[in-house]
Amino acid sequence: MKKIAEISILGIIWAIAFFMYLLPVSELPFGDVDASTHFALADTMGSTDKSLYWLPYQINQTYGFASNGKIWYPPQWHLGAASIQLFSGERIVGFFFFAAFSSSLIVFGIYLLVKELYGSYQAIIASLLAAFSYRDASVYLFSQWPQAISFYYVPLFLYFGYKAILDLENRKRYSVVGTLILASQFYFHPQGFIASLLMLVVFVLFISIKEKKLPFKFNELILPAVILIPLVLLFIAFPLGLTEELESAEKAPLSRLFSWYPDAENYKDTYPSDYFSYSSSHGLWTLPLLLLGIFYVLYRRRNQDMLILSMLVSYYLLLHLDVFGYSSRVPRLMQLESLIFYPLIAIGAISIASFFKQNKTEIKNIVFGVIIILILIFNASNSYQKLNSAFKDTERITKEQLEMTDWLRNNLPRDATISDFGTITLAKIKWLRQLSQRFVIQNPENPNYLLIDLSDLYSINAVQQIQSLESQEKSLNLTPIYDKNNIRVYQIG
Amino acid sequence: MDKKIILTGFGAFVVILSSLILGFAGFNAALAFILLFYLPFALVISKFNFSNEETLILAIFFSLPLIPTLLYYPGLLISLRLLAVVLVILSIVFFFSYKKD
Repeated sequence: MKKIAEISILGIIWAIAFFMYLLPVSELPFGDVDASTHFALADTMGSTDKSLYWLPYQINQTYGFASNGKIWYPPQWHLGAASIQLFSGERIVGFFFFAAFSSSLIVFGIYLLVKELYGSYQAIIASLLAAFSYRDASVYLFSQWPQAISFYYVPLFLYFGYKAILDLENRKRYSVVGTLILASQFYFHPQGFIASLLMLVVFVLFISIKEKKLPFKFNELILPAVILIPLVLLFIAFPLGLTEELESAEKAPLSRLFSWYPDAENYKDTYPSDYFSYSSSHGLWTLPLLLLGIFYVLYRRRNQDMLILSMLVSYYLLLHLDVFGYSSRVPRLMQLESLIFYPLIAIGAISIASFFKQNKTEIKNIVFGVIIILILIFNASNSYQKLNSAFKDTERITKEQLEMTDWLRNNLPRDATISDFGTITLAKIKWLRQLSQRFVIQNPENPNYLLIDLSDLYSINAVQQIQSLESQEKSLNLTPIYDKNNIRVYQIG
Repeated sequence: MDKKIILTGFGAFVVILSSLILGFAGFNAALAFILLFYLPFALVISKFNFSNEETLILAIFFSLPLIPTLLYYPGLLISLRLLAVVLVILSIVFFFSYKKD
């Protein structure tokens, strides 16, 4: 009965996370600038029924220089999304179903790891916090989906890594599974792979210091290496093919080592300031519990505490890579925070019962209930509001624009260059480009088509801009080849 | 609790939830996920000696990266649809021919 209840609770928590991530999903695509690129990679495979090696024409025009025209990350996430498109026949919903589903996996790894290390109460609290994580909701809306899922494998990898190290009887089995999970992380995004390896290395170091010997023999590493190396080599050419310089940032001063988050000002063009705020990301009410959790694991220092500590120490190192000049990576690595802080908050919360000499079980139950209520009041409402209000009305591609992109895709040549006038945001112009699978851009050098898109401007009642564009349009003295819903296309070359 | 009930239950849960939220398009997408990703790995992993939670979670976490890994290189030459169908059939053959770990 207990087992049925536990797996049902895990199912419910996952369903909550999945529901949250489905909130912005509809027949109309959404997402910031990178979203449309992820979509295009999947969509090309989904529409051709073939895997992709060379970038599609419309992406190659802007990104091709960075990778000699090849895709530059392992293709698994995009091929996964393409497969759903192919088999469901749902071009938009199929893709976003995959994005939402892969993002909802945040709860599983945390649940399994924390339950193994500390118990069900802590696992439920940590995974429920993850289901309502405001920062992860932000990352989902930023559309960093492949990177996110790579990070969500970290707790699962550590679960099997921990068992491989400490469960001597089943070491071989757990190390094989752990190795496959590590390879999976590489396939989604190399950052998750690096984070997992670092955390396990730090854990081995901690255990070695505690036990005064290595927890395994070197020859036991042969099997994982024999599995991992070929699996990584199969797809290593993709990230290594990146010719663009990744980093050109100045190193942060050493005083940065004494602050947790980097200065939000340094990233004001790419990330909102609330991304760098503990209070906005996790709720200030969780901070005392987080500190209590850190104190608890530092004080106890049992094997499971050492694992959580090694996650925290590794995260600290990754969070301060800007000291070494890798500042652009830091906000992305901050996505690891939920995976480390939420277990610590849960540990801290349930540890409150250990301060009492009597009625520990009753106190634990009360604390558990209170924490669940606080999560539902504070974290759930913030996250729900963010996801439910994202990309409304003209902030996302409209039905009229989607219809126009279908027409472009079906009627214009593959190498058409289309100059866009009137579409209101850069992200939307990129969406028009990827949905039409044609090179739609503002002010190209040699356009052969003009796209006059007044639909957004009419929606926001931008009268002056409409009048200005319409008078320029009249001076063209051309007949549109597409004319519907205040969107017109002209052939000019 | 029987692994088969848990695995089937989760699959049904995904389809029902997606259909309720996204309608017919959600039903289609969820069904594609279940048949192409979840089913092959659920069949394979249920043959090994993992706990119920491990089996469920591994079926999901392995399927997402490893199905595309198996499809990618052959998919440069052959239809992805055809390859996926072959993969599902192979997993069913494995399920009925492999003795439990």
